[in-house]
Order: sequence, then structure tokens, then C-alpha cells
Amino acid sequence: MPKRGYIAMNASGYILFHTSSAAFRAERLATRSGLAAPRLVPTPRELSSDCGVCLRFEAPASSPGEAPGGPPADPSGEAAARAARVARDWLERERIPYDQVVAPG
Amino acid sequence: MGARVVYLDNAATSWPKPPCVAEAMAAFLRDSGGNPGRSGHRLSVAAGRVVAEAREAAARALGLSDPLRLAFTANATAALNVGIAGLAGPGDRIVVDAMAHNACARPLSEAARRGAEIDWAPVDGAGRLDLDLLEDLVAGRRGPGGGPGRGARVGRKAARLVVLTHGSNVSGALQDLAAVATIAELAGAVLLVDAAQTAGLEDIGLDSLPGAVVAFTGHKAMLGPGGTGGLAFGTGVDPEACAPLLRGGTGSASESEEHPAFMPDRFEAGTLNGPGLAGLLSGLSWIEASGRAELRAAELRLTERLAAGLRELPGVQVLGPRPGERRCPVLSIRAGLIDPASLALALDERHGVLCRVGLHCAPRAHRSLGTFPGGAVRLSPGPFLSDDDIDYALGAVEACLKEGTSP
Repeated sequence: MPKRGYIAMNASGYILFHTSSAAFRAERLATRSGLAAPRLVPTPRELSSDCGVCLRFEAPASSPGEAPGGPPADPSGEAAARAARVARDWLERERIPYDQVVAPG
Repeated sequence: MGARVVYLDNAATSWPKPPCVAEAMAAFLRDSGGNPGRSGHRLSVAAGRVVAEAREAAARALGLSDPLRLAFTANATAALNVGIAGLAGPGDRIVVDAMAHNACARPLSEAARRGAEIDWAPVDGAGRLDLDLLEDLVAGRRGPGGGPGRGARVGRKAARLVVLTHGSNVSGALQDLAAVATIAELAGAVLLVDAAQTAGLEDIGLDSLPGAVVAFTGHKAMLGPGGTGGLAFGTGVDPEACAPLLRGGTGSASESEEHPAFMPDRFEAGTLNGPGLAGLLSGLSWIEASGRAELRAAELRLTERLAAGLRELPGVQVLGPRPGERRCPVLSIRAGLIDPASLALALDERHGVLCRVGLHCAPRAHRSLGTFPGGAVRLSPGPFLSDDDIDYALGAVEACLKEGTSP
């Protein structure tokens, strides 16, 4: 996760968008994303100077698509990379333009 | 006269709106009054969700599967100004139909002052385009000619932009959108559609018109409030090739003093009309629940009933398509030498029948129909009228013609 002098609040992943309209579009389609616990949140300052929102998600401990609210995120390794890949694949599939996917951890 | 009001001015703005529209606007102001897309707190997010839903609903109404290709504007006029200024420039040729509203004609006059060449495509006495003529004109095979005749054979460059009035706000003539889109596509031109009278009611099918850009308003057939509208890009037109008219805050790319190129922020500088878009979403939802095709069929039936009754009145000339021809629910009449303004006033004051008189911001259309400069009386049904309302209005017109319209 890029650092800009702020302290990361948790080990979540984030999808950053150029426009909040894309973020809201993503939120509306998130139920079919396969991401764990996707949620629209204010963009953490450490990730962007923008004043908008982004989509936060967690790295599931096991396979992607597992029900939200499961076991706590595995902040390192394969699960995080896999969650980020799930996010990118989903965004491409839905043709939602995005800025970047920040893997959990 | 009693207090009965029959509102036949839905082409100006639809009224009444479904009751849920006002409720949705009040709820937005009361419960989700943050600035959509400007902050991350719950009220801003709630407002942003309403705008996102409205964007999806408007895109569905236009047959556009990617809502992010749709930008909201203040109205259709704003959208048409963006499209005309942004999709063609000095030295480009623009072809426009002779039923155009001033929302197209005036920006086109400005485009001409800046060096664009404007050719008017002729229409027949009902306002329908001659597609063969249009094709030649767009391709540059013929000049515009004078009046309804064919222009001289020429070899000119193809048009860069075709501007089409989908449904006439004067005669109700409905053009063949798919055919015009094909003509534009064959010539390599972008098609800018003025869908002010049709969006929300007619099938636009934008996904199947990749070279088209559609300007729409929210306060007519979409049943939303004034101050809503937008511009939607077909998949073959790059929005980044269309310059915006307004630049400013978007809540995005805030570190930059350059206006963003990406959709929809490119055309959404400044705070969006949140309450208005909440109302638009509600109007569109009401249409979806009621069935757009059913509403269209009902309004067209009322329009045909009105037209048929008017044609039976002595001295009344009904402008526009003949019975059964493709049209939108708008028609205009002339009644001999009776001043349209005095007829409209008598209809309002004596009978509570509300209609629109004059040139309807479309002088070129009235020239095409032979009603310039006197104008006409326009009657445009909406979704909340009944057969009885139409019959009442017919009786009112008949009474005014019999009694005379002098005060």
C-alpha cells in the first residue's frame, strides 16, 4: 500500500476510481463481484488526495466469493493477491473504469 | 364554467407528474441532502446513490447499457449546446432537419458564425424527412436546394455532424431514427439526436446506434421535474472528442486545475441537481412500473382521438402526420383566420383547456408547415388524461369556434 505519511487504518483492499459515478456504479454491481464485504467508503488520504469515495473489500481467508462477515482478512500472501485479481477481473467484466486496485495488506 | 382543467401542454412540460415524484424530491431534500459525489459521509453517499440510480434509469430509458456514457445536464438545451459545439467545428458541414427547435437552431447559428457550414434538410408538409434527399445531402452528393425541391448535384465533403429532431414539438412527426443513423454512419458523420419530445416514451435503442449521441430532457415524457436532462453517447462516439462547455469542480482529480476528460465528470462540472434527479428517478421508475409501451400506446390513442375529432370540425386544419402514421403525442391546429392566441385564451378562460400557442420556439418548423409567422395552437396529451378529457377538449374547441373567440 502506498504511504504518504498517513497510517493505514486496516488491512483492507481498495478500488480507487477516477470518478465517484464509477464508484457508485461499482457499489450497485458489487453483489456479483465475488469480493468479500465490498463497501463504499471515503477514500483513505494515504491512497489519494481526492475527496471522494472508493470501494473497500476484504481478502477472504479461503476462496473468493465467500460470504462477507467471515473470518478476518489474511493480510499477506496469496489471498490478498487473489482478492485483487478478483476485483480487476470483475471491473473488466462489468466495464467499470477504475484508477487502481490496492491489494489488501 | 367549472374548475375542470384539461392540461394539453405536455410537450412543454408534463403535468401532472406521478405523485411519487414530488415525494421523492421532498425525501431527497429531507433525508439525503448531501452533495452527490463530493464527500464520503453518509448524506453525500446517500445523495450519490440516488444520482447513480437516476443515471441507470435514464440510460435504460434510452436503451443504453453503460450508464457511465450518460452525463446529466440542466436540460436538453444544455445537452444540445454541448453536442453542437463539441462534435463539429469551423470548416465542418452540419446537416439538420427543417423541424428543428431553437435549442438546435440557435447553437447552429453560432456554429455557423464560427465557420461551420449548415445545411437544412427539407421535410414534407407534415414535417417528415425525405430520407433519400437527406442521404444525398449528408453524403455531399447534393446541395440543400431551395424549398422542398432537390438541390443541385454537387460533389462536396460529407457532413461531420447530423442533427435530428426525433419527434417534432409542433407537428408530432416522428422521424425514422434507425434509418437516419444509418445514413449518418455511411457518411462517417456523428448523429446528434434531439430527443426532447421522445425520450422516456419512444424506443431510442442507443446501444444499437453506436454513432449517435442523444440529448434528452427529464421534465417531459420522462415525467421528472424541470432542471434535469442529459447527453448520452453511443459506444462508437468518444466523449473525450467532444469538448465540454462548462469546466469546474467535479469531486474528482481534485489535485489538477485541468478539467477531467473522463465520463461523466467531463460534462458535469458543478453540483448536480440532486432533488431534480431524485424526482427524475421517481418518474422513470413510475414509467417502468406502468410499462413504457403501454403508456405510449395510450397516449397515441388519445392523440389520434383528438386529431380525428378536430378534423371533423369545420375550418380546422390539423398539422402533422395522417391517422395511423408514426408520430409522437403532439399535434397543432390552425382554425381558418382565427388568431391562435385568441383561441388558446378562450380555451383556457372559458373551458380550462390548456394548450400552447405561437411558434413553439421552432420558427423553422412552422415555415416548413406553412404556419409562419402566425403560428398554431398545439395540443399535447399526457399519461394522466382520459378519453373523456379528450372529448371535453374537443367540445371546448368546437364551442370556441362557434361562439367566436372575441372577449
